[in-house]
Amino acid sequence: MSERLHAAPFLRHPDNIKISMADMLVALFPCAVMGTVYYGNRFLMMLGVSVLSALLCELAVSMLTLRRQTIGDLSAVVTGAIIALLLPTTAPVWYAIFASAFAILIVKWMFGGVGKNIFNPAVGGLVSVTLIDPGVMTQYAPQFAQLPLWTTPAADSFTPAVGILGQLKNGVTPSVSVLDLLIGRHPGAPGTVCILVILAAALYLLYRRILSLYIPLGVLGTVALIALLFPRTGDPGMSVLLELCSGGLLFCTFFCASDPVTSPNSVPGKILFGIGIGVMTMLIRYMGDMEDGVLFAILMMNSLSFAMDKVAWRLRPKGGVPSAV
Amino acid sequence: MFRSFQGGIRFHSLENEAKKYEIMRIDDAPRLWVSLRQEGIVCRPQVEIGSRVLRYQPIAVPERSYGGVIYSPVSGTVVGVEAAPHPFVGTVDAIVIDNDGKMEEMPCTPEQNAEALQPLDLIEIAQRAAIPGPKQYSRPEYMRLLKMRHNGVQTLVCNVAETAPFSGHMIRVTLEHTDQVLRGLLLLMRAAGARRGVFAVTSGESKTISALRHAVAACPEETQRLLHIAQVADKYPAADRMKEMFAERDLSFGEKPVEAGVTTPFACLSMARAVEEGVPVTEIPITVSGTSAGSRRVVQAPIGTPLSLLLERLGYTGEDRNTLVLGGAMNGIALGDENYTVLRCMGSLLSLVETTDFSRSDDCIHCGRCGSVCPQGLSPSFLCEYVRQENLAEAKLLGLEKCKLCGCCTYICPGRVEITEILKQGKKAIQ
Repeated sequence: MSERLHAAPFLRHPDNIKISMADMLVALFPCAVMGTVYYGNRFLMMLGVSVLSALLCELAVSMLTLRRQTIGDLSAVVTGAIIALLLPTTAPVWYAIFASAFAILIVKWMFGGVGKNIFNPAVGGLVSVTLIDPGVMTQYAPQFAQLPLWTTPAADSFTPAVGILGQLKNGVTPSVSVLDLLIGRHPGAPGTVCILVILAAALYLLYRRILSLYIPLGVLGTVALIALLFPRTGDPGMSVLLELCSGGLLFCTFFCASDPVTSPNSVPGKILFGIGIGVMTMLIRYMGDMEDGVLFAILMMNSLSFAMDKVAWRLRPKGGVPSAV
Repeated sequence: MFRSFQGGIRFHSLENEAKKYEIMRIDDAPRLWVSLRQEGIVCRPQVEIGSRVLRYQPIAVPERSYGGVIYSPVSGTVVGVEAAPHPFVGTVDAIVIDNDGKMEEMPCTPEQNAEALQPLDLIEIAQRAAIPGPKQYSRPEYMRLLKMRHNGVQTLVCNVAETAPFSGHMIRVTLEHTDQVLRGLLLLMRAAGARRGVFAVTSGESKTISALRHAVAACPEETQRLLHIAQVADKYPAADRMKEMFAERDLSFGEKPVEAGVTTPFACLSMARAVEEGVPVTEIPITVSGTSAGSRRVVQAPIGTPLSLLLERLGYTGEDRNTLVLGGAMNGIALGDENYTVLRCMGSLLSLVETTDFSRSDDCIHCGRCGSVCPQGLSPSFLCEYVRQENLAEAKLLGLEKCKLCGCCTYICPGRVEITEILKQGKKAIQ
């Protein structure tokens, strides 16, 4: 008789943590492909370095604390991949290493490891790099530029391209067409430019029950509403489209904000969480110094996740509070 | 009519083979051990050792005043009374009967004038015929009928929905004895005082639904108005949710909602046979299935048949099995070995090969899947944490008492946390 199964239920669904993380990697793969198309070898190098750094840190910490390795559950790979997809390719290599290490060592393991962290590790790692060098997150190279593989591109070797958010902040209406937005022909972080690919990835995650739509609807609905009511360009419709498709908003909504560990589980909590992220993002975009506020908004709302769940439970209806993944 | 509920698990990937084949009778066990404790009621033997008994002859009566008589399921000789293993209470005395294979029956008289039987007469017939309740832990059917009368139940649901994985006996009984099941449901409705009878079938079961439709169409007009066929969502645990799903919906102001009463096709069939043929329940349909090698069938076996015989007949050698489960994959109990015999109230007998990797468990990753499948709308991950911290007050506030231990959360947990076990301890501690 199996020594584990002495009590009901005697069946288990085949999905475990590794499969959930593998599904995330499958969803991130097309984003990485688009990043390579637009930014070439340097992006691939940053991806490899970021993932490797995350894996090594995870291995070191898990062997030291738990005495067994936990890199098999692939969560470190996902963290490293997300960091590489959000970091512009003009950044020095060691930023990727530092961001991954910070994400794994501090944001994840200092708070308890897989499933116990309060803040999203990838977002925390990127914010750490942003605080050290605020300019790096907005220094986009033009697409298809030939960047050196290992050494940091010198500041005068490429014409820095100003992304959509930079233009909006300076009061300039960006001249991108809807097609450009959809296929990603505008400057931005490698994984965040191609909208079609991100939406396809999100559909896959929805099908695999790793994503539920409450947080994305909360975030994107709030951002769209604020963009509609207070457009930064002349035309409200275009403003909605630009605000939604620029910066890391779509990517972070589907891959970082919806991370079940750091977001509320209850449906009312999720909607509140999404609205909070939307509001904070737009406040930072409109009034703050930074171009894009998604990362900071996610971190701020992460700290309130449990509180939002508790509020949902205190006000629960008779039928219980519906939860979602 | 369609009914659904929140949460729940769809077991599509587990093929339910047992419901595709006819019920197989295995009534030639050479020796039977009829336990003296059936459905929680202990009985005293009433036969002498060495005497010959006929089928349907009473061989034990309850020690207290309530409960059903135990009847001999076969004809043969009483060899003795010895202690035998019982799945729930360790060891209990059992009457050992050597089967002579002839199945000679004691004459039984059908009820005269079935139309004039009053509800309490019907309940007494149900007690005398020892009709079992739905689950292993249920009380006998006649006690449930009394409770339904006491609660003022208006709808009686016949639960033909097989949503537990591997289980197939309800559907087979309904398919093979449709008319008698229908007549039995009408009798039970009269006994319970219900004015409406519903056959609850899962949406995918087209064969069963059409068989039931034919049977209902063959009834007289005023009977047809009393019976409905409802389709329920094909999710586990639909059987546990029947009471709430079919509760009375049109109420006057100030009326409290009355839950529906639930019964099984086998209970309906047994009621019909008790009234029309005067025959008590001595054989039980059991689903024998699982994931190890062997054929998946619904088996009908006399009470007291050794489970090892059933497994052997269907080709379950036990070499590749690592868990033997009685009652159901989601809420049954694990048996240590095959040394048990058929009781009056069983569910499925499952031989399972467990292939899940449990090397990294007790790691709640707060993914929230457990909450998304909970039929009661609870949040098992939070409940689990509070119970582990022994903060039972907070757990009660979160609804620990509403938990029915259905096992959906533990099934879906990717961190392989033993949620059901932990919540069971928590519920016990609250008591």
